[in-house]
Amino acid sequence: MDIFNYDFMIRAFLAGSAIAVTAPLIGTHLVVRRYSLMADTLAHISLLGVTIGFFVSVYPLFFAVIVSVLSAFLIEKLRSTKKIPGDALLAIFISGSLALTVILFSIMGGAGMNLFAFLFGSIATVSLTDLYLVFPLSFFTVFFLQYYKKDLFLSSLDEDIARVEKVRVSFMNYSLVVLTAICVSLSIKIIGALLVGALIVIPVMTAMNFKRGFFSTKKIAVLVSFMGVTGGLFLSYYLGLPSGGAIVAVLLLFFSCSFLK
Amino acid sequence: MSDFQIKISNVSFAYDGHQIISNLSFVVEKGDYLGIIGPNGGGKTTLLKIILGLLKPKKGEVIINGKCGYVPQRAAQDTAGLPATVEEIVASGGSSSEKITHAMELVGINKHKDKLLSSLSGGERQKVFVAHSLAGNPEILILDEPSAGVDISSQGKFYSFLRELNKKGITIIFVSHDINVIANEAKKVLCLGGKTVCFGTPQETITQKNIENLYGRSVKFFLHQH
Repeated sequence: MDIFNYDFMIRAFLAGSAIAVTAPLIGTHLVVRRYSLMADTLAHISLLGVTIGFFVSVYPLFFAVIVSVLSAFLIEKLRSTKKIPGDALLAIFISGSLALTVILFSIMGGAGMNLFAFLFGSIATVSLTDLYLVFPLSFFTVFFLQYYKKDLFLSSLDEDIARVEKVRVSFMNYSLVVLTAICVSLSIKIIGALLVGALIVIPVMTAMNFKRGFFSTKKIAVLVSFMGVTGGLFLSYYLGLPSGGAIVAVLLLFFSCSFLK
Repeated sequence: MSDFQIKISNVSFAYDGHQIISNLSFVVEKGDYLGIIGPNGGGKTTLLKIILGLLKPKKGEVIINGKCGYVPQRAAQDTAGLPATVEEIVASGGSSSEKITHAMELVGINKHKDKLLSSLSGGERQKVFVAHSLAGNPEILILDEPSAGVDISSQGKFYSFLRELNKKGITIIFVSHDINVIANEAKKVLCLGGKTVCFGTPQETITQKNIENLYGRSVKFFLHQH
């Protein structure tokens, strides 16, 4: 297939595959905790990180990871105090980060940043340096989720039960939001800041319609996500569509079909 | 060696400047079946959380002899949409497959092990959480409003199941709003509500006077002679 004659497509498929595995694994925990909007919030914050990277002329994806991880810590800290309602907290961070992004973008007059590509994803933008960041961090995420799978499951089931059973619930909560921040930042080039939440949530919701157990739901979600990302990348290449939009369209098709089973 | 499992000595707890528990002292012996009653905000759930180590008392001492299992208030209702099978939930409480299978058999949910939690009735879901706790081999089982959201016929079966567990040597502490359930199920009763505190057998504690002091009005109840 001529699609694989291009290095940028091979890079897009490699990065997309890594993200397709990690996103729903994290997403399963976010969805059952009713914390799906966290992904969207961190995506907007990642966009701010990318813009800062362009502003100071440092590798943008690195800044996206740093800014979103720090913000994830702050959000979880504020959430745990229970002084601000969770949904209001996320709304503040979404609009705040977007406002700062627009201001910075305006000050630097674009500075060579393709804002559209970061908002909606672009297959042509995945670099070799991105792969060096995507693969180790994705591997670490999968390893962490597997190593702590029982503790994470218990924390998602009920935090008080988990605490009584000596699970370090705060550590699990902070780890989960930090892993979400990393995953979202790494996905931003392929799927875009405005659409990355779909990759975290839709495969999980599709898998939940199969009414299997927690760990089977995770496996089905990974399969759906992988097919959605690869299918979307093919559509993007052959129809000249933005990769993020194409991936989400394929995922939505799977989600709709899951009601027919 | 003392046979007590829980010793509460002069425990006080305040939240946002509001005193919830004041100088509370009592002892739970091995094999006890303790029911806790009291009005909303009386400190029942707070006391359970202090016993479990989830909250620290502002004053006083709590000594626990034995491992605790916990079934929180509305756990069965709040997790109804969780995509998890009965076996996954029970297994997350135990370390070996023998203990997990034994806990499911003891509770009588083995036949449902592959079913999703959401496909079970309220009473069955509550039993799944009890099995989860039992898989960890607790000596003390603590339940907060275990029959909330459970229909009356399932409530009866659930409490007779708790009685059987208690006969097998597990110390049970539970909170309920239902005075009749407490009066007829528990071997000992703790009344907790502001300045009104009483501890003893149902015959000693569930009196018209104590109930009026607790709730500010008379409540009809039927006290079965054990």
